[in-house]
Amino acid sequence: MEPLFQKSISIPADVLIREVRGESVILNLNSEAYIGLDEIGTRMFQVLKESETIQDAYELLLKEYDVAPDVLRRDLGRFIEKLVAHGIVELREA
Amino acid sequence: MHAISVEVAGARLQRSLDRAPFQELTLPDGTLWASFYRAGENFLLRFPGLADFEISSDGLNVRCWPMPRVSPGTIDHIYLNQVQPFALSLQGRLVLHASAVEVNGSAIAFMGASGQGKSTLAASFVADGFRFLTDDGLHLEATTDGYLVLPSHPSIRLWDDSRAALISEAAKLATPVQYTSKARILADNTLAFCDEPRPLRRIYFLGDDHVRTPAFEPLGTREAMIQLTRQTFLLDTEARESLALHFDQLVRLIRLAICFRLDYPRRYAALAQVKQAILQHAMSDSPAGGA
Repeated sequence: MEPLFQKSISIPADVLIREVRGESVILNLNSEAYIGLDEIGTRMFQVLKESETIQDAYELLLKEYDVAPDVLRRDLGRFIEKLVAHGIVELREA
Repeated sequence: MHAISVEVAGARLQRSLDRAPFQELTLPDGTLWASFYRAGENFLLRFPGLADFEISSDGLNVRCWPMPRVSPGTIDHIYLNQVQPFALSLQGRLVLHASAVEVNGSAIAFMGASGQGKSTLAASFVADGFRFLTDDGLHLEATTDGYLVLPSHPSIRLWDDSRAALISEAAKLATPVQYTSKARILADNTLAFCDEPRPLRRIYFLGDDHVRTPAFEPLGTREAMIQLTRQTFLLDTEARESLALHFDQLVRLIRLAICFRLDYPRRYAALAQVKQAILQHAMSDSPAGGA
């Protein structure tokens, strides 16, 4: 298992997340940047928040979506990278 | 709402400041229109060649220093269109760039960038006997189940072509201002103003004109947030509390599912058809807003 997937995510206190009709809008108070997530992004984010490790989130999402394991692993990794780059989440040792 | 106290001081020249602006506004041709500075806890809004306005951090007090030979009408115009909305934003009020008219006791708002036709569309409704609530500076007040539109200044600003096409020649004009040829037409018997709050029923974001007939489309959450954010008066984006409050105000607005994109032909000859389509759409009770 790659090191990233052994970690968990946490959401900084200065990030506001609101769900609206299945989608999410996020405001990073530090950067003053607004970010939007579509329905799939919102579900991925929700599962990541509630999982102990990213690997756990990956396994749950693999059950929920009809997607090849390699594709999900790649997409989930890129998704997390973007969230980290925007300051929406921080990575922690699980 | 707390009233804003406005004081116009004596004329003074605009000396260069020893700090950089935190925000600048430019006109479509690239000309600098306004520079915003921090002045201790307050804010200084500089309109080059015209005036400086200082707004207190709570948005309750405004002091203006016009440049020499700038007319009171010009100062009034800048205050109403620019300074007052930003002062209200400092009071935690939600103010958006939009016009609004009253239809069947509700408010219908038209939102779009400058030049997209929001004033013209509002004026065309007024020409048909509807009352307008604002031609810009859509001031919203939250209620238990939505938002009220508060009446703004009883005047509409129009370019000459729209004025000639829509407004009676006998309409009263405010004194001309020194930075735009746009006329400010004052409300009167022929240009009816609604001076009472009205519940907000629809916001139409004015889109493309490459269509033959009006087309309506519900705005998705992310698109609505982008559009509303672009069209918001918000001065102090560094104050986290006000930024968070503003974010939740916009989220609440989006949750009402009353935001639509409206593409329509920008021809005066098509306005009657456009208005009819808007009325039908706006009065529909279906979640998607009708046809």
